[in-house]
Amino acid sequence: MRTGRRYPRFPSLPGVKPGEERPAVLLFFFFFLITAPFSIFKSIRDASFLTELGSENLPLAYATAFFVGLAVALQAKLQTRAPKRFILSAGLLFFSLTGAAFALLLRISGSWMVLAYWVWANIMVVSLMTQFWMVVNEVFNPREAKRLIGFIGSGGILGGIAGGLLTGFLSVRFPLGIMFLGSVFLLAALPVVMKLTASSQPAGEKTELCPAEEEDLPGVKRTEGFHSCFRTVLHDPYLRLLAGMVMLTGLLSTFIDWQSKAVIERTVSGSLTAFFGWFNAGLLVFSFLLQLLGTSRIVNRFGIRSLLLFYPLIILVCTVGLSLWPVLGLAVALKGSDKSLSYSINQSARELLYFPVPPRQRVRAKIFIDMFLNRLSRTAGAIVLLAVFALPWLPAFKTVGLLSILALAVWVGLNLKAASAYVHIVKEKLRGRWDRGDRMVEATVDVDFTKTVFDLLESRRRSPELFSLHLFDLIRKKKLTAEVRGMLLSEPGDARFSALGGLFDAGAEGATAASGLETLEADLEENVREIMGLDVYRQVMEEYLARALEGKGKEDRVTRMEIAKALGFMPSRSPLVGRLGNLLEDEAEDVVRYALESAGRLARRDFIPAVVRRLEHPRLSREAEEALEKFGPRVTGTLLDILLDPSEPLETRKKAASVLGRIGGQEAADGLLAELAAAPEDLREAILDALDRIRSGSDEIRFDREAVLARLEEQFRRTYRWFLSLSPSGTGSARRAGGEDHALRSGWASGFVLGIFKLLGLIHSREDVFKAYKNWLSGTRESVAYALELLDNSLSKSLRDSLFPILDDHSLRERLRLFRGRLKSAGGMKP
Amino acid sequence: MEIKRRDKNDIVIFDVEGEIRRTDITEATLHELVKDQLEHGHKHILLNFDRVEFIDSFGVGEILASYISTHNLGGKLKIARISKKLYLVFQITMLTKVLEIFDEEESALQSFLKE
Repeated sequence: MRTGRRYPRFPSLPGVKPGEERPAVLLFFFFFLITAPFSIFKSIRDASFLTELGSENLPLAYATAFFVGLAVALQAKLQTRAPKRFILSAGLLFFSLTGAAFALLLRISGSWMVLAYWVWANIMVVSLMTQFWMVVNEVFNPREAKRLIGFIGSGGILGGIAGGLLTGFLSVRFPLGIMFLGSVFLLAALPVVMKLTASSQPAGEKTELCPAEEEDLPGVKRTEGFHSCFRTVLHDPYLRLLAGMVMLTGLLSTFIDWQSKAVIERTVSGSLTAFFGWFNAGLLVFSFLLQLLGTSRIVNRFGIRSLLLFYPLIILVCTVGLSLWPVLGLAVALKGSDKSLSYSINQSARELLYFPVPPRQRVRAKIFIDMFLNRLSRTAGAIVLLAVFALPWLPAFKTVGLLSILALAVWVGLNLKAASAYVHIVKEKLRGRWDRGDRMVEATVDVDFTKTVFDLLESRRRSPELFSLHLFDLIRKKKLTAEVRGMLLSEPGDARFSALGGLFDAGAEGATAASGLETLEADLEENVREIMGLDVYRQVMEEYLARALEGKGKEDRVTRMEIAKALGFMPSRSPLVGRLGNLLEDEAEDVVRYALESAGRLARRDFIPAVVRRLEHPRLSREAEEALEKFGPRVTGTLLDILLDPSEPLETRKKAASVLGRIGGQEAADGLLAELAAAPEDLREAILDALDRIRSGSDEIRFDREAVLARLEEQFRRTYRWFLSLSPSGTGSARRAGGEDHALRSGWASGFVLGIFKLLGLIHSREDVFKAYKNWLSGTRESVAYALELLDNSLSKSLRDSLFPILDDHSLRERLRLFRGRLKSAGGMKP
Repeated sequence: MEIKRRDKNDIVIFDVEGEIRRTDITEATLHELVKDQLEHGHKHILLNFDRVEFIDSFGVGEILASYISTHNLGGKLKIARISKKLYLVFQITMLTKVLEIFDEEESALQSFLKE
């Protein structure tokens, strides 16, 4: 998040970059001010329920979640009709006043009031939490949120701790005062919300909540509301997955809550409110430490897939333990793990899963899933519990433990599926493919055809033989199209072509004529081939060639061009073809050009040295490369020898690498990769490009992963060193060259970065890697975020650690520091 | 294939008719007929292909063999009125650089006289 606006200076905050401080800090406080009262209300809620109604009636309380869902649905309806700012403020005011009212009403007591309070507290937390996460989603993109989630989340955990501690200290002596204090916290959140909704995002970069141009899902009308939210989830497989995960989480939490509270009710003596206050504070201290020190690191280190497995595995261990030994310590451990991990890792993972969903759908999905389905799952949990209680022969406690384990198993499966779907959606978010320029030209333009047609037209002014030879070339390649024939016949005054007369004008007269033309062309090709194979032809031509190639005058240059072209059509073993060796050394470039073309066509080994020598020639190197490419894998060994030979001119070695890239094959790939290690800087780019070309042409070529990783490490170091050498203090050449971002994206350091991506493409999906590269190059906030998100989920940690200091948005000073740090660390980059 | 011989100004003219192909060999091939004339001291030969419908590589081989034989004996073999397609074949094979080919019989005869 960049901003052109100046905000007050904040001290350095973990994971917060310049420009992000204001929204991050506001969200931190917002979260604090809604979790602190909830921690208070929750302790009172649990204690008063267990005291008045007992744990055996807990399923009744869980079942009220359905009413919470209905209330939330009503809020969803309101949300579409009123500004976000109003909804947030009105909600805070409403819960603050009703909280104060309940403080008085609970004193009147009565079991129905305890139940009403339970429902009210749940509505409050669901409503405010959903609002909070919606704001986070709007303000930050996935990349930013991933980085900031530790800091912002810790605000909520600190609030919970504060609320818990206050309850623990004050609930015995000031039971009424502690309830009013909860309402005060909610009132205090009002100005924070006002500031946040007024300037949560820098101008010009705001992500629209419901962009006007965004298409609705099929069947989903533009009118918002609960029904449309439901249909949005129903029509989207990914959202259905998320819904399933939330449903199972709710079920699990209900089972865990009942199991742990049943043990707490039985074993705790004294004030239950104070116990829950201390308990909530204690578990949130743990959550806070986990959040501040661990969540972001775990997210960054393990990625979304591992993150989603963290919570169920720990819960599994605790559930098995409590089911076997129902003691207070294990009850606290299970409930504590559930809550602390729910607030930190599980919540972070779930919120991350929402980020790639388009804003409009995201809002609808969150309304339905987080605000309604989440509650419904508690009701479902309650129904299951009541069903278990209704079967007296079942040991309720252990049965619920078993159901928890079953739900966990399904949940792990859903999580893994969701993680894969997440990466897939991020990929879809990335715009466009990255195709190599040369491959695009090859795919869209028939370069060989175009060149032959141009040569054909050009040869008109040179000689009839040269013209005919080019015409024959087109016929051989089956490319004497109607358009070309039409073009040639459009100049009837041309005597040389009119000599060929109506041979080729039949094509315009319909299918039958065209078919006749094809026969004529086939006969012609066969005739020429047979004639050139005749002994008498060789005798006649030997004498002619000896005579023609003796002269070196201007007149003879065209003749030598004709000969060079004609030799290419002869059988490769014909003694006449030997003459081509002299023509490859000819002084006239035109002659050599034709000779190179023929040498490529004939692909005789004895021409290779002469063709290779032409790689050095600035105006003939392209033809030499094309000729060598036609030799195919037979010339790979020779080209690798040239590539390895430091005595060869650098340009020749570069061209050799280029041809190896065009020829491709496993031998070329292995040789190029091996040579990359020792190649001088000037040669590396050509080798990297050749490797990328091979990779782009075939998925069957295997690149040695260890070797590629080693080359990647070198490439990273080169990039760091190069950058540091040109900007030692952050005010050097990098800045003068137009800024460090420009330098890495399109300036003097961009070649290094492109090289990194080419290497990454050898061992990962090339399409994904270059999609990410293309989006990163675009430099826009969203494109860069999704590009990095894809790489984050595709690359190993060691690669990410090396790559992200280059790709991430950093200040010059920070980037220099990171580069220096990377150079100092001696760790390798194991996959 | 049918080949008729006629003389004009000490030049032997062979009028070839039909198709010159491997599968249509006559009692005496074109090359044998030319050699026969060379043995009889006629060193100026003109092949008129005005009525030739088709020549395959065998036919071209006959022409080239005739050319070599004539050339080796210090004679001249010229060709007149060949089809456009055959001319194109001769151009592609660069035989137009070796063989003397004329559009009309008269111009071919004139060229003999000029030498």
